[in-house]
Amino acid sequence: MLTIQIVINGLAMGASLALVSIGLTLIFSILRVTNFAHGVLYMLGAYTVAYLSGVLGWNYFVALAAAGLALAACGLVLEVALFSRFHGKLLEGAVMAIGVALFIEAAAWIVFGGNPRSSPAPFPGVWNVGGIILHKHRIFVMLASAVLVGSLYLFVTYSRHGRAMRAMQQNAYAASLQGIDVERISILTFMIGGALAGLAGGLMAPLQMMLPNMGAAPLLLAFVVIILGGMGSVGGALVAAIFIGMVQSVVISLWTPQLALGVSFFLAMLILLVRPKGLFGHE
Amino acid sequence: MNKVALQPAAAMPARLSWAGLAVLLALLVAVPSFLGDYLVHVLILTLFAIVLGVSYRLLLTADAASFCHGTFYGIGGYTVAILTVKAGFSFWSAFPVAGLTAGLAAVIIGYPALRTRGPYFFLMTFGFLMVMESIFANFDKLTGGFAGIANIPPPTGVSGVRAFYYFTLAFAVLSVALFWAIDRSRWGLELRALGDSNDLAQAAGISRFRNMILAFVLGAVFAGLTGGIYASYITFVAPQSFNFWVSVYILTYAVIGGSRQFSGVIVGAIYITLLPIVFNWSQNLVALFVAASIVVIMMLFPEGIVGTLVRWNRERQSSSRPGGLDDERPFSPVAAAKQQRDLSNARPLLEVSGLDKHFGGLHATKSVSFMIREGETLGLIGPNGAGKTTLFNLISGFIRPDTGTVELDGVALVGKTPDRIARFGLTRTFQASAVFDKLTVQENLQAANAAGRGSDAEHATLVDEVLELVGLNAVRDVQAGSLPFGTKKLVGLAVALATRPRLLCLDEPVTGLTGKEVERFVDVLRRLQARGDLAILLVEHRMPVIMNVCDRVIVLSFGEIVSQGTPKQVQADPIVHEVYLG
Amino acid sequence: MSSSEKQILLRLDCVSARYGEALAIENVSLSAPAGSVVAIIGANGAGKTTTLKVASGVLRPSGGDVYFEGHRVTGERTGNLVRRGIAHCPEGRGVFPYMSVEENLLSGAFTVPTRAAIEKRLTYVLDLFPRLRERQAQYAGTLSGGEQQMVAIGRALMSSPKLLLLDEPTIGLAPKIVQQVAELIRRIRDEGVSIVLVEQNAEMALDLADYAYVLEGGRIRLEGPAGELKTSSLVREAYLGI
Repeated sequence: MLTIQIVINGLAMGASLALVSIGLTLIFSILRVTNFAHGVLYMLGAYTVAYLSGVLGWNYFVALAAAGLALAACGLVLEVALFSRFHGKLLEGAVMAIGVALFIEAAAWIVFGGNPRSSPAPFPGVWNVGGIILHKHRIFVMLASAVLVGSLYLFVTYSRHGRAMRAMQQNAYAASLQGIDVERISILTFMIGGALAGLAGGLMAPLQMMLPNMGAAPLLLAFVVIILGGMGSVGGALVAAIFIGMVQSVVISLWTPQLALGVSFFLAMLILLVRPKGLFGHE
Repeated sequence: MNKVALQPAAAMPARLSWAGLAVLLALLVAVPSFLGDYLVHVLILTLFAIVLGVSYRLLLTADAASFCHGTFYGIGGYTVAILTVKAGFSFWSAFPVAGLTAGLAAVIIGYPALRTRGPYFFLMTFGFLMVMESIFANFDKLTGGFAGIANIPPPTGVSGVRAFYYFTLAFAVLSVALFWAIDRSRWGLELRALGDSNDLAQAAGISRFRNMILAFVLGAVFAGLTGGIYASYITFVAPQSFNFWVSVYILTYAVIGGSRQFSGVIVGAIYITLLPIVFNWSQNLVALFVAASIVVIMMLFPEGIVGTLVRWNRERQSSSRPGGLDDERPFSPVAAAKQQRDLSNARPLLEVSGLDKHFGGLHATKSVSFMIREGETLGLIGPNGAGKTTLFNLISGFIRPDTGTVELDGVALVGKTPDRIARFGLTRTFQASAVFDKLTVQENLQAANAAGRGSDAEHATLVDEVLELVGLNAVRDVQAGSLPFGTKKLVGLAVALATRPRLLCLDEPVTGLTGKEVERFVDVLRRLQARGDLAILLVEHRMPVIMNVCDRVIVLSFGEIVSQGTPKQVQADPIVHEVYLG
Repeated sequence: MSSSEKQILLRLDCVSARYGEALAIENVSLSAPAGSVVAIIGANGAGKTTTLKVASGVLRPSGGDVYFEGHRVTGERTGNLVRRGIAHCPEGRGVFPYMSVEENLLSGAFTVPTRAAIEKRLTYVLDLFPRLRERQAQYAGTLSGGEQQMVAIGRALMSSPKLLLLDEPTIGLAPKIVQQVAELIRRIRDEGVSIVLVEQNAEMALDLADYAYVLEGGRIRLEGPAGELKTSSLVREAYLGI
C-alpha cells in the first residue's frame, strides 16, 4: 500500500515538474539561455491563480487559463526586452536571469508580504480506494499536466511553428534559410516556457502554502531534470521529471525530506559522469 | 592602406600607482578609529566578499564559471567550526586545515567537472553545491544539522570587532596581492589565453587541464580560509550561511564589476556587499537594489562597471593610424621563380604511417602515409571535403586516429595531448581563430609555450626575434583582436613560431587575404625557409602560393593521397586535374 | 542562346561583402536569367558561398545591390526573399538530422500559406524524388550523403521557388552519386526552376550550366557561356595556378 502511495505521489510531483522542466529545456536548447528566472514564473502563476480565484472569486479553471496567458505575456516581455541579446551567451544570460529572478522575488516579498498564502482548492478532499489515499487535486494535476504536455507534444511535432522550433534547435542556419523568422520563434519559445511554468504554479497552488520563494525548489529540480534528460530533449525531460518525482517521493517518505534535493542532484551528477550529454541529449 | 583605429593595450591590468595604494592602505588601517562598530562590521564582511571574489576570478579568466565557490567557503567555515568546537583545536591550528579541506574538495569535484565544458561544467559544480548543502543540513552528528554549530571561539589574541578587522584586513591584503601577482604572472597569462581561445592555447603548448585544476583548487583554498575566518567571527555556522545564493552573489561580483580587469571583481564585491548594507535598507530593498543593478548593468554595460570605464577611456584616447606593420622592407613578389632546393639528403622529421579515421559511417582518412624531411616545405592540397583539416587535427592531437602512427623524430605522437605535441615541436595554426583577441600582440607570443623554453628572459629574447622576423614590432602593444585581418594571420604565425617548432603546420594561412597581404606572408615564409631548420606543412588553395613555396606537394581526395611529387609534377598529373576539375 | 533575350531573374550589381573583417567578395556583378542554369566556380575560399549568402539575404553586402525580378531587394530578410521566390540550399546539405525526411521537407514550406498548398507541394516533391518517398519516415541524419542532398534540394523546392541557389551540391559525394545529382539538377531545370549553381567541381558545373562565372580571391576573374569556358585554359589557371 505504501509503495503505491509513494508511486502516486511521485507521479503527481513529476507531473508538475515536467511542465516546468519542458519549458526550461526548450528555452535552453533553442535560445541557449539558462533561464534562472523560471522559478519566479512558477511563483507568479501560483499567486495569480490564488488572487483571481481566491480574492476575486473567479472560477478556478478560468483563473488557471488567465494565469497561463499572463505568464505567456511575461515570457514575451522578458524575451523582447531582456533576453534577446543574450542568446548563446551562457554566462551573461545566466547572470541576467538571476538578476531578473531576484528582482521579481524581492518585489513579490514586498507586494505580497511574507505571510504564507493559501489558494482555494477546486477539488478538495480525497478518495479512499482500499486504503490508498488519492488526493483529488493531485489526480487533477496529473491529468491536467498530461493534457498540457500532450498538447505541447502535438504542437511541437505537427504544427508549422513547432517544426520551426525544432528546426532552429537542430540547425539554426539551415532553418533561417527556409524563411523561418528566428526572432519570432524565440519569442514563441519564451512564451511557451512562461505559460507552462505559470500553469504548473497555478496547478500546485492549492496544494501548498505559498511564499514568494516557492519557485526555488522547482527551479533547482528542473535543472536536475534537464541535465538528466538531456538539454533540449522534450521527451527526455518528461521521463526524467517523472523519475525525479519518484526519487523525491521515495526519499521524502522513506528517509528525510531535507535530503531529497541533494540525492536528486547526486544522481544527476553520477549520470553526467557516465553520459556527459544526459540520458537523451543529442547535441 | 587601410586606416584602422588600433586599440592599445586594453587587456593589460591597470598600472599601479604605489603612492595611491599606500594612501588607500593607510586609510583602511585608520578607519576603525573613527567609524562605529556596525560599519566596521560591514567592512569586515566586504573584505570577505573581496577575497571570495578574487579567488573565484582566477578560474574565470580561463573562461570556466563554476557555481560552487560558496560551497568551498562553507567547507572552510564548517571545518573550523567542527575542529574548534567538537575537537578542541585552537583556531590557529584549524585555520590552515580549513583551506586544505576546501582544496581537497575542489580536487574531488574538479577532476570530473573539468572534463566538461561551459554549461555542463556550471551544472556539475551546481550539483556539487546542492549535494554539499544537503550534507551540511543532514549530517547532524558532525555538522549540527539545521541548527548548525554555535559558540565557535575567536582566534587567541583576536577579540572584538576592531581586532577582527585588522586580522581580516591583513588576510585580505595578502590574498589580493597574491591573486594580483598571479594575474600578472605567466600563469595568469596562460589562463587568459585558455579563456580567450581554448584550442589555440593548446596548440601553443598550454596545458588545459593542469592549469585549470590548479586555478580551481587555489581559488577553493582561499575561499575555505575565508570561511574559516568567517566562522570564528560570526561564532556560528549553519547551512543557511552558505547556501545557493552565496555562490550566486560571488558570480555576480565578477560579472557586474567586469571579469576582464582584476579590479573589476573588487569593485563588484564592494558594490554588492557594501552599498546596500551601509544604507541600512530592509532585506527586500537590498535584494531589489542588487537585482535591479544586475539587470541594468548587464543590459547597458555588459562588460561590467570597470570594463566599461576602461573601454570609454580607451575610446577617448584611441587614434587612427594606418595598419602599421614594419613595411619598409622590400620583399620578393610571389611569382618569382623559386630555387629548387636539394633536400634529398635531409633526414626524415615527420613520419606518418597508415593513418586511418572513421566518423560514424564516414571514412574520412584512408590509410594515409607520408613523410616530411627536416627543412622541407610540403604542400597539402585537395578539393573541399577531401579531409585536409581532419588530417591536420589527427597529427596535431586534436583528434585520435583509429589506427596508424605519427612520429616526430622517432617519437610517437598519437595519444599525446595537443599541448604536449606542441611543446614537443609540432605546432599548428588555425584558420578561424588565429590569435588571442583580447591579448596584445606581445602577450600573444609570451603566452606560447615551448619545450626547452628556458627562463622568462630567454623566452623574451625569442619573442623579440620572432616579432622582428615577421615584422610586427610596430604593433607589439596593440590588442590582437583589433588588427586588420591580414595582420592577425601574421600574428598567428608568430605565435606558432614562438613555440620553437621543428615542424610548422599552417592551415590555410592566406585564405581571405588581399594580394598584397599574401605577398607579405609569403615573404615571411621565404625567410623562414632560408634559415633551413624549420619544416613546414602547408594547406592552401591559392595555387600560386603552393607552387612557389613548396618543395613537394601531396594531393588528398576523399581521404586518401592520390598524387605526390614536386609542384611541377603534381600540376601536370592528370589525376589531379580530374580530382579538381571533375 | 543569348541571355539578354530572357528576363533577368537575379542580378548582383558590384556587390562586396565581408566576414568580420575579411573581405570575402569584391565588386561581384552577375545575372541569372530565367530558365537557365548559371554556374559560379572557383577554388575553395574564392567567395562562392558568400555570393549566395548575399543573394538569399543571409549576409548584408557592404557595397553594391541585389535585384530580383527587377526589384531592389538589397538588405531584405531571408523570409521575404523566400516568399519572393528565392530558395537557398546550403553547403553541406544542412538537413535537420533528428527530423524525418517528410518533416525536413515540410520545414521548407514554412512560408507556404495554406495546408492544401503544402500537401500539394509535398506530393510534387516526393514524386520528383521517389527515393525520398521510400524513406519518408526515416531520420534525415541516418541517410547517405546523396540522399541527404536530395532532401536538402527537395526542401528548397517546397516553397515553389523561381530561383534555386545550390551551394556545392556534390561536395564529398562519390563520382557515381555526383552524376545522379547532376541528373536531378537537370530535371529541376526542366521543371522550370532557374538555378544558380556554386561548385568546386568545374567540369560537372560547366556541363550543366548555360553560363558561368569564375571567382578567384573574391573577384570575378572570368565569365562566359559554359561551353566556351570548358575549353578555356584560363579556367585551368584559376584552379591549378598554371
